[in-house]
Amino acid sequence: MTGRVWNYLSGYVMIELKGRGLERFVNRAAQSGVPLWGIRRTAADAVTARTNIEGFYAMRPLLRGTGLRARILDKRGLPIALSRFRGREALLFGWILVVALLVAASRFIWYISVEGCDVVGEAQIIETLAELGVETGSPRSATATFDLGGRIMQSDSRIAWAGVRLEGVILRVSIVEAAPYAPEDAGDEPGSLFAKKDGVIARVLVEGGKAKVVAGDAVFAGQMLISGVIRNDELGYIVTRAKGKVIARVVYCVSASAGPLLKLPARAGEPEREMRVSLFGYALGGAEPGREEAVVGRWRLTNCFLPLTFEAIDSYALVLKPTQASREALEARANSLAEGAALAQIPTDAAILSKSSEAVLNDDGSVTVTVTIVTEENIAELRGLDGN
Amino acid sequence: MGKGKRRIRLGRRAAEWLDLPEEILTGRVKVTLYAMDTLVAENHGGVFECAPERVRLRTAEGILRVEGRELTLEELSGERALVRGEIIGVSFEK
Repeated sequence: MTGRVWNYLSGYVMIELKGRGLERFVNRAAQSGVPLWGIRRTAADAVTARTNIEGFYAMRPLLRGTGLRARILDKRGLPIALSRFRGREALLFGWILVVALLVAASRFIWYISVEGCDVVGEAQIIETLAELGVETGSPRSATATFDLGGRIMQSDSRIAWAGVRLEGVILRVSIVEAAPYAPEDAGDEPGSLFAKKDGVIARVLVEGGKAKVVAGDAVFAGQMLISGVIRNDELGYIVTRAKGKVIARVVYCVSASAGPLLKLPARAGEPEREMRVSLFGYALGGAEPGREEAVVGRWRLTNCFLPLTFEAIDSYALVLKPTQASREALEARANSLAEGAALAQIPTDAAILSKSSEAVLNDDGSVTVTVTIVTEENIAELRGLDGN
Repeated sequence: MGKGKRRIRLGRRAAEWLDLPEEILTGRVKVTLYAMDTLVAENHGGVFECAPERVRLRTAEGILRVEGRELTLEELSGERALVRGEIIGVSFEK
């Protein structure tokens, strides 16, 4: 194997020897120190073999007087491959540049993939990683994957386990979320379960007490769902502590308005002029966050084989100013407010079944959006037997 | 007793006493067969015949005959020959 690599690096020729007494010549060449390998008979009077460049020249005096003819069939190896670039220095430079860029790019993280997120948001994990100094563009060598998992776990109590591994330029984060913590009802005082919200019963799971509702019933907040008073033929009535889950469909309907003016980023102060170089359309040196840029001039290098472009850029600082916004922008803002307010009312263990929104343009130019979310959740709440 | 045979016998004794590889002192051929596809002959005396189905090498013991299919002399130097291909049989011709 090492020999093959060395032969490739030093270069070799594939030759054909033709004539009579081939074996005799091969022995002479081997005795004279000419390296020969891959000797194969191709015809009664011909063999092919491989030798290095020095070997080929050393072979020529040995051929004299033997009646044999040597012919080069092919030239192989690194020096031959490199000689093809002679006169094409730009192409060679381009290849070297591409390889160098690939090698340089492979030293950084290019993508962060988060798996296993259900309750905990992916954006939150990526934000946590950024706080720990790991984000897209961070060097791979400086990323201590063994330590990151533990730190992500510490950042949120809902994460039971977190693992981080590097796969090439991809940072894969695997999350296992903890089961929602539901403390067991440890008390033993008698009580009944009442509805804490209006809803339509989907299913009732009774662990103690007697169900007062069935699936399909519409219930109001405060209505008894599972009673702690049970009738007994021998003892009359006995009281117990009602236990169970009453899963109901609950509708949340929240409205929010936005406008007619919205605080939007606007240019402030004098622009700062700067020059920027772009290669293959990618700027070397990015824009600063919180600033807006305008290209005022662009020049392309015409005599360079690389597509280098220079740009003159005016950069403006941005401040928030009340601005007349479009209906779409007002709708988006009002929708975001209404949705945020609705989600704040929904418990974290509720399953969202559907979500819809409706926008209305008001006379003053503002927009009101009503968001309707239907969830399925446990609405049972333990109270005293009498509901207090 | 011929001169060559005496040399081999003396070389063999010396190799036994000095605990050295026999082929170094005796000049006898050492043939190593790796599975059915590679044969290495050390201390050979040159190529006698090279064909795709037969490679014959000169040795002190006679002609070493390697038979097979698509045989190639992958390496050849004064001391060592490496034959690669589908090896069917190895024998000596006296």
